[in-house]
Amino acid sequence: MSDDTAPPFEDMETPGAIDEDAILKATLEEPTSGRRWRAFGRNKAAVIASTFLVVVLLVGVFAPLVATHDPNDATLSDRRTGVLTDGYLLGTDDIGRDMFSRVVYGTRTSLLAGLGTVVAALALALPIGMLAGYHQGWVDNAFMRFVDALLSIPPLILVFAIAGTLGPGLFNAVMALAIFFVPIFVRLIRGEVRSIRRSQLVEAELAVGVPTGYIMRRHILPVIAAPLIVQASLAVGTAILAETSLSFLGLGVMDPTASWGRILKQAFNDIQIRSWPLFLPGAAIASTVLAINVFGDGLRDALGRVEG
Amino acid sequence: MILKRILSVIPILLIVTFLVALLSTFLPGDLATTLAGPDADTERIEEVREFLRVDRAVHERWLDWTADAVQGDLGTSYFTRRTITREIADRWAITGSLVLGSVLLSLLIGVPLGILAGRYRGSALDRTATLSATLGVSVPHFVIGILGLVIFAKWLGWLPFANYSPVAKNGYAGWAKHLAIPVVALSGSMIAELTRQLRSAVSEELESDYVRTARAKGLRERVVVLKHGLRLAVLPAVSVLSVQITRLFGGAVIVEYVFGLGGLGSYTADAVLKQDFPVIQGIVPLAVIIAVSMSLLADLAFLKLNPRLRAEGA
Repeated sequence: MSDDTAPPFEDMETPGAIDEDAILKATLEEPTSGRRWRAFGRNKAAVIASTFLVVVLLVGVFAPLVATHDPNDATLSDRRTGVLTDGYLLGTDDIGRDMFSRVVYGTRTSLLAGLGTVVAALALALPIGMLAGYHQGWVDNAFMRFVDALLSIPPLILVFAIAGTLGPGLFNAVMALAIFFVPIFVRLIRGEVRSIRRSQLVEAELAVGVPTGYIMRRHILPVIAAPLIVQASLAVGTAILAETSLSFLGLGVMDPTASWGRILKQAFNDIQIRSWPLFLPGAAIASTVLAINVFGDGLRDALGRVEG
Repeated sequence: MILKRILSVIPILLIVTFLVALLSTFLPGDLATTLAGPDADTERIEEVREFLRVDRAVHERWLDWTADAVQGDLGTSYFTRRTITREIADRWAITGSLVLGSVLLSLLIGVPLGILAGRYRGSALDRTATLSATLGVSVPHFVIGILGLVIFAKWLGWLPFANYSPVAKNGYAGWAKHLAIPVVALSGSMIAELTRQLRSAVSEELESDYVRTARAKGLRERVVVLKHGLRLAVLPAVSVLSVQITRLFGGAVIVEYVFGLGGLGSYTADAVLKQDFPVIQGIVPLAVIIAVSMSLLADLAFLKLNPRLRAEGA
């Protein structure tokens, strides 16, 4: 079995045959971008999701302005108050911290984890993937052996193993998640670069002596950008999910720092006493990741190569 | 060909175990001191260092570990001093029940839902199914589990709160009741993936020439969908299944932790939380073997189900 047969129906786009027109279109003419925006705009669900994500982003960035209390300020006399009592919008947790403010600050943690992971993973995967795809042969072979080995480890097990070794903390969690995404991105980038590398356009450029760096920047990067953006945006959602799982377990963000996973865990400890505080962080996680997935799917449809 | 596939696992395992050994160099520096406890003298700390083999070079540790593993010794937990193989023997049935239950439930719901959504593309049913599927991949296992606990255990009181109940203790009914919520929690993403993939596969197959021929022959719609349309749509279902079963073992870690089931997932969660590195080192290759076996099984199923592949592959 040759190594460029990606496992079928994995949630990445299999690098199919690329037509020369698509490369030219992506690099030379701009009008397609207008059409893509309009295609995206017609997708009602994707537009709603993007609007929601903008709000989430703003809440995360301006958390100190949105929050009504200091998220770490524990007022022991106000433990477990109900909704809208004593000036607490959504009540307080088991040690008297304002739930609403904690969820608001948790947004920041989740966004940091999600975006940080993807940026770190791309920073590693982009050079490796382009190198492996462009210089076929032993470099490619060596990298792909490692990629295959890493991909053979069940996703969460890999993340748990790395985070469990490094110990708790947001930085370690992001590192563990980034290592999980690197092989996935490398595989995608390599596949795309390989198919463009074989195109007549690039062959012709190489023949007339166009420098490699120029070809990479001018022709290869723009073409791989579309599938990469789609994959990266979906990865942000997966990373946020995984970070909440790690924090819930006690491996991600450490206590007093607010994170959705931690808030959920504390509320879970109280499940016999009261259950409604579970819904707030639960809904925050589910709705944000849902919005990211809908947004990513919308991007995929809008940026898709097959255009009517 | 099958033998070749099985043998191809060996280099993967070698690389994985080496990477894990490499990971141990990132253990926080004073781990031996931490593990030995606050009252430990230097002798005790030395003993812990020896146990963890932290003072030796990575490749030496890797070779040692591999030599032991080949003889069936996957290592010993630092905290409990029990061997990993022993723990696996004691706990596999719990995780096995959980995963098997999730696979059955996913097939029971995901397959008919995917087929119907694919057949009646664009209908209200299709839109509901697609939306639920997107929701299913967006909600983490433990959120579904907690929601299930609140509704069925706390509010309705139909199901017990947590823990695993062996068949020997409370019979099959008790066993099933205790597993119901964890199984549903673990199934969410698998049902969603099955529905998504089957939907697109079925609707694609129903557009194909041979289905049009079948319809033109005047076959009844039910026969067309069930006998012709489904034929090739089974293949994507098989590959979703093999990928998702592998993921279930990762999801089981957190689900077992939430419900205190005490299977391999709980074992992994404990090890990871305590930075019990020897256990992590033993669990990862085990997970890889499970994952690779699943994809091998899927490939065999492919050969059996798709005559075209059989002709080429032989």
